[in-house]
Amino acid sequence: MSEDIVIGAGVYGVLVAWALARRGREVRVLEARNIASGASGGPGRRGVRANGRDLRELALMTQAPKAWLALDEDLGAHHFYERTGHLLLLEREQDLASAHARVQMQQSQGIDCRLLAAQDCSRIQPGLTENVSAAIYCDNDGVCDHDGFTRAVARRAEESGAIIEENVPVARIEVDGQMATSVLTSDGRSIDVGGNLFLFANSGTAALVESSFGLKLPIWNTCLQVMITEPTPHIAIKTLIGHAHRTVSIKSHAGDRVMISGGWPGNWDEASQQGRVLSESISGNLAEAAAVLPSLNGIEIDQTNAGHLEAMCVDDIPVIDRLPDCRNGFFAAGWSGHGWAIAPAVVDLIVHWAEHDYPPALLAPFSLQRFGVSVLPDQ
Amino acid sequence: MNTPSHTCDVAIVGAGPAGMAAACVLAKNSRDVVVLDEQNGPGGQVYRGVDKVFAERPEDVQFLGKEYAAGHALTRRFRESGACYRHGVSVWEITSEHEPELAIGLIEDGSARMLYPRHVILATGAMERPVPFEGWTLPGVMTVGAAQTLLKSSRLVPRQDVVLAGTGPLLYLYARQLKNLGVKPQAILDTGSSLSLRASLLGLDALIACPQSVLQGMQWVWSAKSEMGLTKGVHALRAQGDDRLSSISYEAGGRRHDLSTSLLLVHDGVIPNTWLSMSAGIRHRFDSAQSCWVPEIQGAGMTSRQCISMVGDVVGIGGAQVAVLQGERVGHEVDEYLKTRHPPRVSVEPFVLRRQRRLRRFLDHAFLPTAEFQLPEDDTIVCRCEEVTAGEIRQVAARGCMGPNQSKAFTRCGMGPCMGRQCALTVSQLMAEFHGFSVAEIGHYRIRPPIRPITVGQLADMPRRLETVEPMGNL
Repeated sequence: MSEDIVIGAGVYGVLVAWALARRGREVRVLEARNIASGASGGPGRRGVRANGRDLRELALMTQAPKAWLALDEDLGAHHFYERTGHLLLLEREQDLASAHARVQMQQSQGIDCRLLAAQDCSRIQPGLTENVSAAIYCDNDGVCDHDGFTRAVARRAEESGAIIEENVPVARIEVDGQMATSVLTSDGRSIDVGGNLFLFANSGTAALVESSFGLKLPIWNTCLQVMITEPTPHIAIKTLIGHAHRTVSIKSHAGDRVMISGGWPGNWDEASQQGRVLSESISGNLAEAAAVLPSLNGIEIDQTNAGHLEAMCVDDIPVIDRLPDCRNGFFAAGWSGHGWAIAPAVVDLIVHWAEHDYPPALLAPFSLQRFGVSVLPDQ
Repeated sequence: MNTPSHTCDVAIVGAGPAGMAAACVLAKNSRDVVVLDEQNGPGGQVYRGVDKVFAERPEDVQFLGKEYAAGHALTRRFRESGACYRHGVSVWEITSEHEPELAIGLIEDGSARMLYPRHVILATGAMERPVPFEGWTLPGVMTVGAAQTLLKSSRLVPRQDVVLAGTGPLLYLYARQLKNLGVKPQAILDTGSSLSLRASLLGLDALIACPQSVLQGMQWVWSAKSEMGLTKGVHALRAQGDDRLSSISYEAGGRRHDLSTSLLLVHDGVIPNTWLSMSAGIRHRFDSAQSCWVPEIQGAGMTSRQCISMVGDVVGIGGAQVAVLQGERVGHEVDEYLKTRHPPRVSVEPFVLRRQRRLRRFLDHAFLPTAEFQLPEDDTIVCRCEEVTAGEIRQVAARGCMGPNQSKAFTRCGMGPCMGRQCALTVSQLMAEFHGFSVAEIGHYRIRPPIRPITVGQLADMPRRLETVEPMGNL
């Protein structure tokens, strides 16, 4: 039996499982906790934006709006994904020159975007602070209900024949003659890798790569906080809002609520595997949000959450490569808080890579080579 | 930013009997004590509005009973103690042990601010156990506790067609207070189980320990029976009506009964209000006898976090008398701890306290939570805010959802404005029943600050020391 093994049931794990199962392969997913318990889960929605993205990831976003709509369609038109546009706000004079350069670069990569004057910003999103001087607007960007999407894909993967096992942490990957041969679970089971091995356990990847291959990735874990307001029908969030110098992201949320986030850390307790919000972080994040949308000031906060681990990489882009010295093993981790939007593109490329045994050029910027590590010395 | 009230030796949350008693001891020992109270006058739930009643409606003292009147002496002692009483203050968080400093997040005069005490005492009292049954969300159904609050604060009395249902000492106390005011409820429907042999034996023991309290309680029940139409062994309670309550139905004595009424007051006992202590990361355990969560306590009131003590009904229901005695003990314990920074040796419990424990053991067994409210039927709404039914919780459990926190992702249960207070216990119990685990194994909602409503503006304007937190860049 040539069974593919996937480690991790976040969006990457379930998407690859679904893709493989649909190709008629036997797939088993091993998830240390539960489906979508890491960065793919939790309250609120995730941005699907090309605008303001790290330039090395831009090429992965050119097909994203179409790919996300197609996925929604495949899932039975659930509308997890919603095109809302993305408004990247500018307040400071000194940010204008780089904004021009960014617009030009994004357009040259095929991303439809433009620079807006202040009055055009308020037309797209009423209620913005008067300090907004301009914005980069990208029509095709959107948001996605990440938790619902990941669960729906997991169900479809299972319907297509994939087996998803929850609460099965993997302790070690065994390699023999440049092939991953089996994985050992922490309760002592040994599961054969008949086909390929995909290690997509975002926050658990660095530890497993180090224990199994002796390679220390420049990746660390953190939990980022998310806040959701009470229902506020009179403050309509029309678009996904980001900012050139303030660390804040504002999205609409089900039930007329507003989601506020943007990269403010909580505190992760390793022993209990729980994240706690920090009051300084809450306050700092909300101060930024209220500076952008002053009408938020009178709105109550219903929920805070820092319960989902994110893996950050030292140069703010993920590592996507073969497992060291291993022809049938692939890993991807360290999404640095913006791995959601590129998931469909990356999964397609990795599946292609595994089928044709040839690394896709679009993934080259994310290889271990940028850290001076060569995974297959003979290639 | 450094106003004088920025720091203190001890901050006490709650000005009920336990909080007041602890404050009196600490203030007497010259500790700088701040008492934070959500209400506008000291007294907690049990002595709610007692100073106001004495000042403005002294004639009401009579019907509220002498137990209530006893609160006035305590509030006077508290006001004269020298403790700093800050009323109308809500506490929305206590910093976790991972944060650099112990701090309490407050909303006071409309602004959010932090208070940095050396030690915290949580005396947050009790709350009513949720009572889910078919129709409990209809306007016209409310809790006995809420009705009693209206009685104490503004002498609001229900109309004669009122029906009381459920079980627990408060139900009978309230019935007694109504009787004193000349209001005779249409019916009192007791949903509790009949006394077990064990409970009867404990009753005898309680009678020896605290004869006055037991005899008085028996008299309340007896008068409810003889003068107010008490029905025992009631089950399958339902509230009906189109947009508000118009009638109720129930089963008793082997047949179904219907009553038309515009007001149904329900009660199924009280449980510790552990929202703040859970959010502060204090260890709790599940008390299966009373089916509620209680903090793990060492000594008189030390918790798993050394800088936080707890006392009063929040550590396990004991009533006002126990709360005062324990409050004093915890006051001494905290004073000693601040001196030596070592958990002091446990002082022997006074005799009165041990006698009260025997009474409590009886009450806990005599008034067990009503089974049908613990595991409601599929159609019954469990989470009022998001309108999630017991059936939906069972469905997500069947789909592999193992705990209350996960159920939030599936159903939004517990994510509305009450932040789960009304459904936490029920959801854990339903999950435990479905999977065949104990509630202790299933666990409780993770409670995250803010645990009280607070606005974006209040939080954004809060004085911060931002050098401790750095955002990760624009994501």
